[in-house]
Amino acid sequence: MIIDRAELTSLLTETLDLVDAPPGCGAVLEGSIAEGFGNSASDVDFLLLADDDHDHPTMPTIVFVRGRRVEVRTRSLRQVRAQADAVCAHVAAGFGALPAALLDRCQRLRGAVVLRGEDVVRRAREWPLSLPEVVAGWYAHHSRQAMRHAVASHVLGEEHEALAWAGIAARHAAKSWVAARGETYLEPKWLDQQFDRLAAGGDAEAIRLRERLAGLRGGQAGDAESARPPDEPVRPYDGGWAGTGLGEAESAQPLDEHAALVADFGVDGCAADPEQVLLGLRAGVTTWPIGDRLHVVRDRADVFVLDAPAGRAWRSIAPGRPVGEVLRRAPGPAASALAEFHRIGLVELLWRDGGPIASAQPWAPAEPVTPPPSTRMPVLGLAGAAADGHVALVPLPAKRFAAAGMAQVWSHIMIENAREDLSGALDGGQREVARTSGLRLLHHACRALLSACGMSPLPPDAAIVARLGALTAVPAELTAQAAAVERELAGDEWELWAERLDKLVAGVRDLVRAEVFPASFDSAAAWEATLRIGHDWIRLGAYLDADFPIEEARDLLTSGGAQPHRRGGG
Amino acid sequence: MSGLRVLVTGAAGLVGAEVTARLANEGHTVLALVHTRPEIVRNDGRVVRTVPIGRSGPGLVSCVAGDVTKPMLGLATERYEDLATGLDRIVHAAATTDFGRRWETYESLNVDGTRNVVRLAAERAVPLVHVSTAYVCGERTGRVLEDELDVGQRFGTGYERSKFLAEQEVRAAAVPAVVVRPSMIVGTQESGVIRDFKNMYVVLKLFTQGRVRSVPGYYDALLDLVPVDYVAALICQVVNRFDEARGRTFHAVGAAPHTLLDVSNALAEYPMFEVPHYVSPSAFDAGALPPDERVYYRRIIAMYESFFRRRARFDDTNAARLAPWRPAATGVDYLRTLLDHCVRVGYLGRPEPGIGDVLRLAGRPR
Repeated sequence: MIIDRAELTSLLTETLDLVDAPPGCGAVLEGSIAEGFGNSASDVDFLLLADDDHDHPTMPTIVFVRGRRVEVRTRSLRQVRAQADAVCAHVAAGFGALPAALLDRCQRLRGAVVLRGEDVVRRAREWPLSLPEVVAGWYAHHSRQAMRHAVASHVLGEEHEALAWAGIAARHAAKSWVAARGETYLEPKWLDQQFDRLAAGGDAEAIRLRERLAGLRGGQAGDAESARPPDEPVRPYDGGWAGTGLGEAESAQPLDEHAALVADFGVDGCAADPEQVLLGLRAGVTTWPIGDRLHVVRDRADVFVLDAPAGRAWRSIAPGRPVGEVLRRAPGPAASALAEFHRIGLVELLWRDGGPIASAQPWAPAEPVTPPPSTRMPVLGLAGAAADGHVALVPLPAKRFAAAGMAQVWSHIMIENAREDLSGALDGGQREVARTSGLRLLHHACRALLSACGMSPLPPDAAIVARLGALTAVPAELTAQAAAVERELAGDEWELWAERLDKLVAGVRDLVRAEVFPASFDSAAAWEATLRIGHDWIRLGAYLDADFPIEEARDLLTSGGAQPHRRGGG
Repeated sequence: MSGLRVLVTGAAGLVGAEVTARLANEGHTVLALVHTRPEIVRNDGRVVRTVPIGRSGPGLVSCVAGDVTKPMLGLATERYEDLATGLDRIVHAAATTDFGRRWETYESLNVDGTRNVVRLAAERAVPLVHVSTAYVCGERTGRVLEDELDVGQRFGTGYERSKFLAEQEVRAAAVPAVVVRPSMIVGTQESGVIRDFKNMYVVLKLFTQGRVRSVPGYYDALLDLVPVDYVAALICQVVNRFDEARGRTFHAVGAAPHTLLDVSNALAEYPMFEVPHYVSPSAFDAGALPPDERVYYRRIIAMYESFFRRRARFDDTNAARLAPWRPAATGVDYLRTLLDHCVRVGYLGRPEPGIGDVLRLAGRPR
């Protein structure tokens, strides 16, 4: 140890003068110094063990003694037994869900140096399991997962990521190997010192394996990437290690070497065999086309919009089939799209007979990555969200996205309806009818604009023109135009109303990319096209239980546009 | 109870085969009447071992080729006597469950066939378990009770009408009888396994392939799906506890009906599936469909379309009292189990070449 026992005892005595310690508690030094590692910057970690049933806080008390930072934790015997029981339960169920922090607490106690209260400490350490077996099994689990991830990344043409995961797999495998030989301290950074100790004890295998690990570490970062000419794109796996885009020798070799070392460290179930990587569906992920554009909803909360190539890749997903086989059938950029789908938790990758390939590692969060939301404005048009790259996150919660989309469709339908009424009133010389129709048209144009910007629910008609000015996404010219139209509709120059409103609608549709919106009442085919998009939005809205713009909209869209009081259903 | 001598008609069918195998496993002597299919295959694909009728006995199945549409089940007198003598129960499961058949076919198989089986039961005073359908309720809306039959309902298909008439034959006869009415029979509760992909499975195929993109229906229409293993278990229970069941009707239905919204939401969980729109029936115009879709619609979907607007809820008080277990799987979770099986075995998620293949799956002549 870098601090001798006498010094430690003095440190403990002085520390206990500064904190409230339970009477009769045991005391140990745990962590890197106790394990025989550490340096001048290492904290001194004392654990006090109280012979009681209390729930002592997890947070340590931090004091400074003799220029050293000292962390003091207190736990009751009940707490440490509960932790040990929890580890046992996790081990019985496999290692997948055993948290690093929990195992770490159990290991630190068992690797600690006893300073006070040997009997309490002995009772605190009672445990039916073998610590080397548990730590070795736990690291083997994570190594296996990382190596599988490396193989999966390679299949998807993500070579840089593949080698990074392979490196993690090799280091975890090494930690598993040293743990099985008694070096159970979890902290990864002391791996070299752990090998040193085994080597010093005469373990020749430890020296050989450490050299192989160091060799991989030295060679891995540049090899695969530097072998690829800068102008040559990474191509996905297409049926073997050959043809990965890197050339057979360059691509497969580093991964094979990592896999071989992992196996030699005693971790099985992760051979570098691409056919082991299968595609799987992820719970809570659903697909919703709107027009020709695919939207994928994750956990009823997030909406991702796919561009056309990503959409084709999405449609090519065949659950339970090898990823390589799916890619061989899928169009060009499917591999990078699938890799992104996996990263953001839209699909699972499975190891044949081995369950999901976990993306997370011991000290990292398990949730899938969520990319930053798209900054495109307007947020949505009639045909759904604005596609922004392969896979873009819509910057609205899913339910609000569906509600805004339905409001958008409904507003455009009502624009057409009001325009027809306006024409009729103008033809008939009915000024007040025209004024009312014009106002209705103006309000629906504003609603189309605001819903396209993601506003939902929408403000009442009385305030809607004024609200345009508060949104930076709405060009000032359109805001001014809408305000001017509102003023004109209050006046008497009614011969100008239709022209001004048409210009405003054209501006709105130009902005929301709805310029091709069919004039709903002009032809049966155009009306059908309008309703089909409406049905797409309704299907999504029904899934998310989103708000319909008004009940009449629901009736119109779900009735296929039937007009109940008109003969012949037309 | 064990040691009964039971005749099962339609023993090669989906329900008949499963009931045959289960009764034999329980120690009964099973005489399995089959029409054209000589093999009895269980729902999970296992072939049931059979012995000649002369060697029949407890725990064994003997296969007899016959025809329920004919007097004496199409058997020679001697064979008919062999079959009819000493019977303790008859389970009448023979029927065509295909949609879109000519009425004459339904009348012959489902109505006349039942009449012939009822006659056998009456002649020999054998208790009869008649397998009907919950959809004898036709297009009724709301709660449907087990003891209701004729309430002036309208029928959506010839199949339903024929099963309604068959139940009337059973009720009119002077035989001790029980009626079991399954709803739409689908895969097992736990694994979704189903031997035959018929009826609604064909519709699912057309939906998921995008060959039919809109159908006249409502998101809140109700489909009652019942696991095949529950139906078979309930029928066997009725055979074993006939005295308690006698004179009653049992709805063999799912734990809760599924809405079409459930179906839409479940299909959306599969990236490779298309999901249909439901359009109000009052406004739906098959003539406005694209030509390819119109063909599929007219030749297949039209047979099932009344199911997309129904809102019947089947009361199953009698079944709840007698059944050995009750279905528990509901909603999207159960649909996922059924769809996962379809994908696993390659029934869904793989395109069929054309209308001919789909018609073949639907059991319809071209």
